[in-house]
Amino acid sequence: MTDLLVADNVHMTYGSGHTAVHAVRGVDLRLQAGEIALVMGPSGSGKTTLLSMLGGLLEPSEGSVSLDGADFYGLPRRRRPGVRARSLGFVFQAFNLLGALTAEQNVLFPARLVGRVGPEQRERAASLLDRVGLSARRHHRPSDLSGGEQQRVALARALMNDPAVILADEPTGNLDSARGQEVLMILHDLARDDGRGVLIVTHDPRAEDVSDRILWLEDGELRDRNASDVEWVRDPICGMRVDAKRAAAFVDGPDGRISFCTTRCRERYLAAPP
Amino acid sequence: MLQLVIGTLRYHGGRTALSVLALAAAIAVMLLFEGFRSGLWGQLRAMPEQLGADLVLSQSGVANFAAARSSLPQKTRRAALNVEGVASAHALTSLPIIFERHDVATPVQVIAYVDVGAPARLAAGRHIDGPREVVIDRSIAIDHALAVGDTLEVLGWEFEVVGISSGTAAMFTPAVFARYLDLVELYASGDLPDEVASDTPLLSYMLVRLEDDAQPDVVRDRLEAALPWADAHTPSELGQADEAMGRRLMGPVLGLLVGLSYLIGALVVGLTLFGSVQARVGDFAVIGALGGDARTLSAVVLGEALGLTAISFLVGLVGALTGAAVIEWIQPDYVVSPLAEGALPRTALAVLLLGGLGALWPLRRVLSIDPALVFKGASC
Amino acid sequence: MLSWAIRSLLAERGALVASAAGVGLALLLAVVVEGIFAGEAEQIVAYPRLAGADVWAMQEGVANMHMATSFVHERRVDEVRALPGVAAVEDILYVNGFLETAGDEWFVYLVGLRDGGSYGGAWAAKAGALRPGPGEVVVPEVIAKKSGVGLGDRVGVADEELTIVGLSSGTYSMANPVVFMHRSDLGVVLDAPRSTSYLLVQVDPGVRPATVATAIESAGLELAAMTREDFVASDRAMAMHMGADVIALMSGVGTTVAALLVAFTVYAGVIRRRRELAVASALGASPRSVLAAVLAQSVIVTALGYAGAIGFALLLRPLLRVGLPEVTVLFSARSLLEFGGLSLGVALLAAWIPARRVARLDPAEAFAG
Repeated sequence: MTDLLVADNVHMTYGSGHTAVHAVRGVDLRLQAGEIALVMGPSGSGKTTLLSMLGGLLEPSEGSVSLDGADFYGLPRRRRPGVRARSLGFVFQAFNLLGALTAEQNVLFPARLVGRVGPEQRERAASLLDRVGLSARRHHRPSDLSGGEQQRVALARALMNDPAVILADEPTGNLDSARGQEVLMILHDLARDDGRGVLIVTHDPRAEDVSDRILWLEDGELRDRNASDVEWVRDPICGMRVDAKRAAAFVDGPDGRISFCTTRCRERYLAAPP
Repeated sequence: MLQLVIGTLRYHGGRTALSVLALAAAIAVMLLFEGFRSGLWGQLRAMPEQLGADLVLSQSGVANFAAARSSLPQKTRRAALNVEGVASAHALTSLPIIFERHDVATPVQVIAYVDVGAPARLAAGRHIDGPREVVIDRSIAIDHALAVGDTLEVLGWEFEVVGISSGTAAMFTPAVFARYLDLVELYASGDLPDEVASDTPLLSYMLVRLEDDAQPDVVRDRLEAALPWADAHTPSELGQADEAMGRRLMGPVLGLLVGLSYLIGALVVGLTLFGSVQARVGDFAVIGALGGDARTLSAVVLGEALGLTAISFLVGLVGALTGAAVIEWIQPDYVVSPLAEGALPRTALAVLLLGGLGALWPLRRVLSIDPALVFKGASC
Repeated sequence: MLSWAIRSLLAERGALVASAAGVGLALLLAVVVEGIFAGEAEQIVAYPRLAGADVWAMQEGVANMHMATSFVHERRVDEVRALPGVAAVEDILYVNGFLETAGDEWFVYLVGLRDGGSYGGAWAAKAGALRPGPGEVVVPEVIAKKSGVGLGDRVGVADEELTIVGLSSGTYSMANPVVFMHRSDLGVVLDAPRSTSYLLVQVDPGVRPATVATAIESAGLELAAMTREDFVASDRAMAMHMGADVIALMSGVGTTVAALLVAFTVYAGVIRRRRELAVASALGASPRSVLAAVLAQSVIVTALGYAGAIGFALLLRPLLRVGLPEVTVLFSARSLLEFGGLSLGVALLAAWIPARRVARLDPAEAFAG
């Protein structure tokens, strides 16, 4: 399987000295053609920073990011936008459609960025809108579309230049249940049917069901959640899922170790054990 | 990108309208202030130029028409007529007085003429063709509520207003045109008020018309040789001298005001465009994330700035022309010419320069995209 | 809410500075134009204001200097001097005419002074003498500077050549710079050896100038007499026609545009903060407190802009005195306060309209994308 996107020992550090903040530490990641990978993790874990680096928007303090075998940050700065336009498709939580343009014009926009807008591109845009079920709404502006419709337009836009990799940041974050499922299925099809690599940053547990791999980002470090070095248990007080090997608090009882999400839950447990 | 530029300006109609209003106001101020200045100079030039003479004789050493005291001896006319090339010579007296009516006092210039020297443009009525008739400048008519057919007292005598002229204010002093013979009669009668009689030249200028084939420069030299007490000028020379005097006196003040309007107006343009671009940094971050390079982003930013500026310039120009018309209607003493003397290209240049700077400043931020803008719900 | 309103403004320093700058620039234009108008309006009557007379006496029917001529027999000087309440009389010969300097022609007031007088001439000199002798002239320092002439240089009045012996200060205005010459020289120019033009009368201590003015007019001397205040007012009204009215018009335009720009800036600012105001509503702020916050922010922005404009204007004045001495700028506390009131009123009005809409916002807007 071809590696479409490779992050090799990527670090991002803000500041320096004793005030330095390590947002991402030594992340290695490979995204293959036809694969859907999830990046999950608590707020502040560095997901946005990681996605920015993978998307060519933020140069890492250390390490490299390769797209289709080429070192992205090794390219001269002026060439990077073009590579982004051709090789990457973005789907954002807030949709980020250009409000002044119609749905069709929004889908065509990436084609304009690489300088190609002709009958072929228009036909492709129409076909993409049809694929996401929005042919009838192609002349409407984003303000006339529902959240779900906007996200589908954004998906069509992401595919305009036929990129190999799709990066989606909380694509279902602003959608209701049904629309969110629609979007996830489209992303699923992009990987399965088109052979693209899809990386989704999300909190949505439904995404786990359509993904091939789940990566857990915490404190800047990336772990494969299915890997053996994670042991998931439930906090008996709040019910939250906790990695027993890295629990913030625990109690060793006669039946073994009980892990807690925080010391607070542990104190409540000790005060009134069930 | 043109589609995006036009679409954005139309889509954010309210914001575009507000920006256009602010820019147009700044541009209108620049044009109006320029117009005030150009109008003043034009007025100063126009008065002597509309006398209808080929050459004008003044007292030796006097080179102005406005605010000047020129006194010629009565023999001037006969002496001028004896000069080869002169077809006719017409007396003109220019006399500053204070015209007062119903407790409203206005400094005016009484211009008493014979045949030549009548006002070039009439806003109402007709020219003088009999005794005790006057034509008054439009500003006098408005300030003193006078119309054709009314009577007024000038220099102690009653006159009938038969016409109302326009463009006949020299050095901010509007003119009252009277018959030269009436002035002579008034002078001879002893009825001339003391404060005027003590210092009244009976003949200020001689308006000379040349024969068809006469060369003005040649006749002029002959006149000056034959009339050593007089200097000969073309009307345009007198007009330019009046303008030069006006510029010397008022040029610094008006120049400061015009310069200030340019500086501040252009800064307002820059600031408004800055705000307009700043408000859409999120949009630009998205375009950058999607693969828009520096050239694309610059084209969009500058395209929007140029579009806004172009629309605003037109609106500002209309505003300035409308303002000029309103001011001239309220204060007919003054002429406001926003389009004169290169005001338009100067204003356009100032607006483009500072407007461009204002638009380019936030572009710097746009070109170094903050990815957080894209991922944290940037509003489009 | 008020402290939040202030913090919210301060959190976006760039936007705050831009808004305040917009307001400030608009007001600066209006303030400076008005200051120039006020300065020129004062300067236009500098001579009658500062010549030293309590009462001005002149030919009957005359009520000012501008564009006027006044001729009375010089014996009137002794006759007025003899009137009760009169402490001193200086007389001047006067006409408006042209001064020629190094190829330039200047429209000026020509004032002819007698020897030995204690007032009626220049009240301050940058260099040289305050009063000229025969063949001499005192010119405004501004004219000297602009023409490149100085003490000892020759200038022309009518057909006379005179030597500059003094450069007076405060005697230049755009309508009527004042040139002082010896009355014998001006008398030759006017061909009026036994005439004088204006009598500058000083009254005895404790005597009201109006009383003396009435006495002069009632004395059968065929003279008109006015107190200095009345004469200055009359002359100012005439002289304003010499272009100062233009500046008044420009001042009106500048003020109108300033008001528009203040309104625009404030309005745009409120619109920009609409969403966070919706958030405040969602969190429980009452419509009244939201409205108060918006108005408070508008007042702060306007106040900052106003302070900036005044500061710049005051800085400009000394710079102008050096760089452009022909222009007189006068900022009065009253006009500055009036501008403050105007800008505040405009800002409140401009903020009111969007503020009312914001106060009625559906708090659910806070959750919109």
